[in-house]
Amino acid sequence: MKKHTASLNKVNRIESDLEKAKEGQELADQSAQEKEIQDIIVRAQNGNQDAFQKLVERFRSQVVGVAFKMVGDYEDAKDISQLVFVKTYQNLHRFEIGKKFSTWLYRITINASIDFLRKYRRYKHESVEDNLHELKETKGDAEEVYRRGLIRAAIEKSLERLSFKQKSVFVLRDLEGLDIKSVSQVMAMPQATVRWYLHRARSKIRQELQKNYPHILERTK
Amino acid sequence: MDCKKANELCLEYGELDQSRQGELESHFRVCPVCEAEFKKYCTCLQDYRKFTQAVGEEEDFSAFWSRLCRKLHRPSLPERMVQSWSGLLAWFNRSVWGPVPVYALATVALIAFLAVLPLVQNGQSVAANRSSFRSNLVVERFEPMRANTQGSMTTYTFAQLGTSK
Repeated sequence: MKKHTASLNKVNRIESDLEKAKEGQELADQSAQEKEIQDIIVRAQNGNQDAFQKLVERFRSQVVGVAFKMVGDYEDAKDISQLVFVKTYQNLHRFEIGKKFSTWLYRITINASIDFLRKYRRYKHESVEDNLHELKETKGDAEEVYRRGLIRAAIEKSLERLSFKQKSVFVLRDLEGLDIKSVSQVMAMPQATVRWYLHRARSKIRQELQKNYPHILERTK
Repeated sequence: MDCKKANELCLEYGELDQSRQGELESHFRVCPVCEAEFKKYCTCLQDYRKFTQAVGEEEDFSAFWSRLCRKLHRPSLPERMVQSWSGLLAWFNRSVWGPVPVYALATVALIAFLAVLPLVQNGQSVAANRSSFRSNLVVERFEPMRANTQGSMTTYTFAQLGTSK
């Protein structure tokens, strides 16, 4: 029995060591990536157009994704992303090397999206019928695609109910997966305030979903 | 822990400390309704996240970049205004007034003219006055009547004889 427990402990230790090693490797990869990005930024700051192009290529999907989550329309999100990169190009000399570029870019994107929403005061979302082409293209279960379309429309409709700050915090934390510290840096507000906005946003979203779209929650597998 | 409290904690999921996280999980073990509801909500968000991840990768990058390049190298508003008026400005510079040195010469000439003008006008008025004075000149003829000497000073008394033009 003792022998068995000892071997079990050994296995556990090996597993935890492996996990630590994996985490260490991930951190090393992240820092290497960050260093590479910093090099690209330095070259772009010195007027290298190719370096700026690389930067755009690397961060385009992130910017378009955040803008889409904020405004709810793909065409508008593309326009906003163009504006974000123009602003980035114009203000790149102000970026301090050593800070996280993605945080800086998130802030520009969120501000541009809020400006857009303030200017046009609208939040469009494509109807489920607009995504019928998705049904044709998908080899999988058509009902599943339809369910996803419903979920998407429901969440986007619920996002409409949030204030700009609540929406920004919710998008960054729950949809983009940033930690609270990064969100507070992007939003330039204390972490406690971020937690408060996040709590309010989650509460509203859940209420909206339960009230207006209970069938979606029921259908969820 | 009751369901109401558990629902409150669900809203802070991911930000809870270990003890409260443990409380919530132990509630989930005894209340499958709360657990199922929370899982459904999480799955909804996960599905939405999956969908939005693919959004940014739809457009071809070269098209995106070429559109961006046009915007990056677009001149600013004052520059665009100057450009739109540049044709007119060129015509104005070349055809009507000429280049800058001509402006400078014209300015100097104007100042010189303005400086000399009063003098010219003054000279003309003096000449005109003189001629008018001559034309209206009255010559008075006097003759001494008597001389009265007192010490070193002599006083003459004149009598007016008449006037002539």
